[in-house]
Amino acid sequence: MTAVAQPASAGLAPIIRRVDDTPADEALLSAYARGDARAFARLYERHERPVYRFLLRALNGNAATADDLLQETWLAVVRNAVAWEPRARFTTWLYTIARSKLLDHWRARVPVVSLDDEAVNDPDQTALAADETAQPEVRVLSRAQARTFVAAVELLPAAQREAFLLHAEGGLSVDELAQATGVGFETAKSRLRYAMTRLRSAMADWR
Amino acid sequence: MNGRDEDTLRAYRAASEALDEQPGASVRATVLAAAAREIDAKPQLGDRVARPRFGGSRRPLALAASVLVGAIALTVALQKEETPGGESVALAPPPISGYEDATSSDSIAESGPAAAAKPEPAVPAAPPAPRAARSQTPRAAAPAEAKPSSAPQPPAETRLAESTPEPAPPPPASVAADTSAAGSRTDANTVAAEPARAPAAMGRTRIATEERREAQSATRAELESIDDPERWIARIVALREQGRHDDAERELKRLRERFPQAKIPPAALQPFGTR
Repeated sequence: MTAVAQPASAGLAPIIRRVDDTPADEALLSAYARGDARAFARLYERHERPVYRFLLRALNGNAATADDLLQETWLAVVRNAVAWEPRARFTTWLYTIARSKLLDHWRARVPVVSLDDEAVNDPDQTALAADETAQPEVRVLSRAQARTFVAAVELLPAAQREAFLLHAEGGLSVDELAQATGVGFETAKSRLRYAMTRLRSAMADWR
Repeated sequence: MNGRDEDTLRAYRAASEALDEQPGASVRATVLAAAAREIDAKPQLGDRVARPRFGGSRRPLALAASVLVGAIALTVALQKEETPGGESVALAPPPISGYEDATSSDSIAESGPAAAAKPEPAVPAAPPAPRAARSQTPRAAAPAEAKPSSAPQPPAETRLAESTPEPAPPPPASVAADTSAAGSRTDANTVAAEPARAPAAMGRTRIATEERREAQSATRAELESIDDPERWIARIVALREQGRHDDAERELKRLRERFPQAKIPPAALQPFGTR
């Protein structure tokens, strides 16, 4: 996947843009709908790890569940590829599916969890999933630093974490965040802003 | 999004790359296999997307073509059933003119090109009369409609004798054409032979008819001639001419009894040597 980070010149606009002439996601999905299996393989290769990380972070590092939900997400893409209409970006659709799989998983295990609950938007409140994770150990090793940063992400309130991951992994803009999560623009924007603020604090402590 | 947010995102991506987290290999295999199966299971969906302009109408076109071919085959089969020997219109009896025998191959050959050159659709060689009548041109079909074939008609000879006291002229070509087109080959030959036999047949027919009329009206003529001696004498002359001298003598005797002063012409008297 060839992607570069663009300067943030328009607020919370997507920072990941494709700069080469590789086929767009939508073109690959259409090619697969016409029977091109290799197009789907390229599409899967392009988004496999970001979606997996999105699921893994949302699940606080539960790799086994992340594998299951990743598989369910892509199988849903396979089943609905022909019926898909390019009314939105493929990534918006893809992460909306992944999010719905997460919600289904959480509903089955923790029925009271709601990502849309406005209470979780309050940075003062403790995130539901954060209680299950121990405070990350600060290490000097780069790999350890990486784990610490990822742990800080996982400690975010669920809604903020979701907004951050959708933005960081899927490249969704605030508009797309609102569309994927079913909330208003301002809500999505505030969630993302809170998440950024908390992560910067964690980075400061870590440094 | 400001520069600090950019740093945060960059740090997050660096951390993710450092951890090198990836799903299990079985997930990839399962998903790609399912994608391949989906293509195999629904190839028509791929075709529909690949050829959206024609994909939708291809099936109806194939259905319409099948129906058309079936209809053509059925029509040909029906025509073969209606046509004994499968003859075409070129082999059908051509329009007949004059008193020639229409059944000869020469006459068919002579008038065949004209018939074959007619740009009419193929008509069975011996179709039923109504179908052939429908296939004719309006002008040619008019005489056939004037003579309904379903009504019982007397024999052709009698019909001609009654309708035409004069020797029958050659039938118009349209009549012959009507007959040949409307009827079977046998019917056409019958009508075509009528003009050839007309002169002799009509002579015999006229005599027989007159005799029959005279026999039927004999009593009536006798009664009418009672008060008219001239007509009575004419009746006697006619009997003489017919050689019925006994009848003539009987009538003459009655005439003289009724009209003693009547002048009897020599033609009414019995010629010499007939007693």
